Amino acid sequence: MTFFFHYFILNHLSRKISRRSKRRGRRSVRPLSQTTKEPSAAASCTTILDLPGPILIDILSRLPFKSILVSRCICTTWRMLVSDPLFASMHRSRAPALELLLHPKSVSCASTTLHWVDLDCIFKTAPPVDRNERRKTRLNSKFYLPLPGCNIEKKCLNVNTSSSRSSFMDCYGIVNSCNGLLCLSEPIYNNPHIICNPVTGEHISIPRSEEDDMFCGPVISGFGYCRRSNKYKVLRLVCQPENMYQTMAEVYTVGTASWRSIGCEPFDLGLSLFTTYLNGVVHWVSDTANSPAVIVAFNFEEEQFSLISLPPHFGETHKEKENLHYMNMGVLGGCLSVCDATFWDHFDIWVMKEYGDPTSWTKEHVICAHSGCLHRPIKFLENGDILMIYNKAELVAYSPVEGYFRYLKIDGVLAVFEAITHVPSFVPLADAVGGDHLNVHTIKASCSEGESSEGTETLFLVEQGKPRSASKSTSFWAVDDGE
Amino acid sequence: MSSSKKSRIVKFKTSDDKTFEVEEAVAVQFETIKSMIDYVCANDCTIPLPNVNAKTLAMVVEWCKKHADERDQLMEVDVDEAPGAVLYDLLVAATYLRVEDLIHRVSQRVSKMVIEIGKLPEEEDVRKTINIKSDFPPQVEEELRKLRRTLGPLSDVLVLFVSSGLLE
Repeated sequence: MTFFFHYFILNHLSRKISRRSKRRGRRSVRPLSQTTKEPSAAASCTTILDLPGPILIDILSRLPFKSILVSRCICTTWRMLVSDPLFASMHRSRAPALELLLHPKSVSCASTTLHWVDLDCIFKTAPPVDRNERRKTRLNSKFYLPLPGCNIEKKCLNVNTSSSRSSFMDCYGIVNSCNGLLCLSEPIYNNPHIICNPVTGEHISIPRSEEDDMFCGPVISGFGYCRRSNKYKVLRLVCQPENMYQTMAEVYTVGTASWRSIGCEPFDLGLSLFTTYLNGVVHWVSDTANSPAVIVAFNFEEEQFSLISLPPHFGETHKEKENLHYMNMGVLGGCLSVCDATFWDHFDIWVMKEYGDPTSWTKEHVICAHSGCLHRPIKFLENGDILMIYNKAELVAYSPVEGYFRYLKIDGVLAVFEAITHVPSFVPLADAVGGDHLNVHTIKASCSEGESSEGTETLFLVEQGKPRSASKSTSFWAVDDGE
Repeated sequence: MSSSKKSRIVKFKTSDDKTFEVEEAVAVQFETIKSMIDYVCANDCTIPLPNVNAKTLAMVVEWCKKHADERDQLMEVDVDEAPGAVLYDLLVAATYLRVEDLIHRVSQRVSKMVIEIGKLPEEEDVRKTINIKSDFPPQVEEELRKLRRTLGPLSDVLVLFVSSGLLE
């Protein structure tokens, strides 16, 4: 018996090795479509469904975002596995990648659709070589946001599907994304009202009170997670009519019954810009009349405000107030980052290497571009390129090594977009947020009943010509392209 | 294991009724078996493995005999040649015997395979490739087909499909 077994193994392996060596260097993974065509004993024996559930969950949790979504539509077993809490926790523990969602949003109207950009697919394709070639990529992957005032009623959902674009009066704005959840705020006054997971379509409402309709001026808000207490919290800064000159800070712990006041907001935020969430802290750039620009931070765990200074030269007079719109703030490579575009021929990307230490502000990149419009860094791509959104209308990949840009114009019904970085989560909303006061709804945006692709809003990414080099740029080239 | 002792042999009976003799040094790597080795050897028992066939057990044993660096090579070979079913068998066996490292490696390999599968244009191709049948109700199937006609490749349709709540 043992003899047979050794003979078998030796024979088997040596054959494989010899074949392998011939094939080495061509491709390491064989296309699967071929593997099954081989007349193997596979028909009668084990299929992937015979694997033990936890193992199959383990396998599925290793997949990239898109493949996970594919696997949900293969059979009911897989679908159940992907909805399993074990899957959600395994998926989360594997530190899923930061995904990019585009949200069509102008001053007067916004969309209820989020468009997912398959960055892997798009930026692994080489740009068109011919200057006159236009390559159009359709963004078919969409998630829906709930509509105000109709969480469950059918009739509103029909409105939703007939026109996914809504006027400013009846659509939510996005406060920020945190651990796969989005906080949405009501139109006009930006009062935070919904927590939703766009991937699963689940959402819950934040309780409202009658005073909520009597705020003076727009509400500033932020949404975050407290690691120690495992709670999600929403912060809002409001002006009450009885005390117009004092901004009050209120916190809502998700799962509880109501908002609670935590006293006055100490720093007088003024116009708060660039809501940025990072590791349990939400940040804004404060724009007040008298003081130099500064970052105001709110720690959700301690419920405390603090100030973080901007990079050193931001204290200079020309950086103040009127120039604030030529900068922006975000997270790049896990660090707080500020992009300074107040120069006419280049812009700087600053990164705070050690969070909370203002001496660690480092000018990481100086990018030459005669743009006049603002590049907002989104994230690093796999190859080290910086992905940015330009003028709210184009995706830009900038290679710091080779110094060239790839511009992909976003083409849709609306012309301007906000870019949301989002780590998708499959954790059921009730499990994620916990608490007693939860009433989880699910969006059921039906896409049946003869609705064609034209019925819903569709976005395209249009790329044209050769990538442009940063250093050799002729002035204002950005204007003549994409038109 | 003390080197003074003579290496003992653990006997297994596979699902296809073949008897296997495995050295103790290998058998102790099977977490499931580990604790019963003393008893089994003393009483000359054969351990039945109702869901592991001879071919698969041979592969598991081969894996366990190798040192860590050689395992990489072995895995690479298997990866390139093994059709899905072999990997699944291996994974079922590894899980049953609890050979953690092997479970991890094969899982990794299978997930690579599933990623490739996910790139196929139609869900029916996916199902054929992994040899399973759809068990969705016919109206869901029809919906999926309709979506694919208007939107193109399967993978693009799916996100919409999933978020549409059709399957809830």
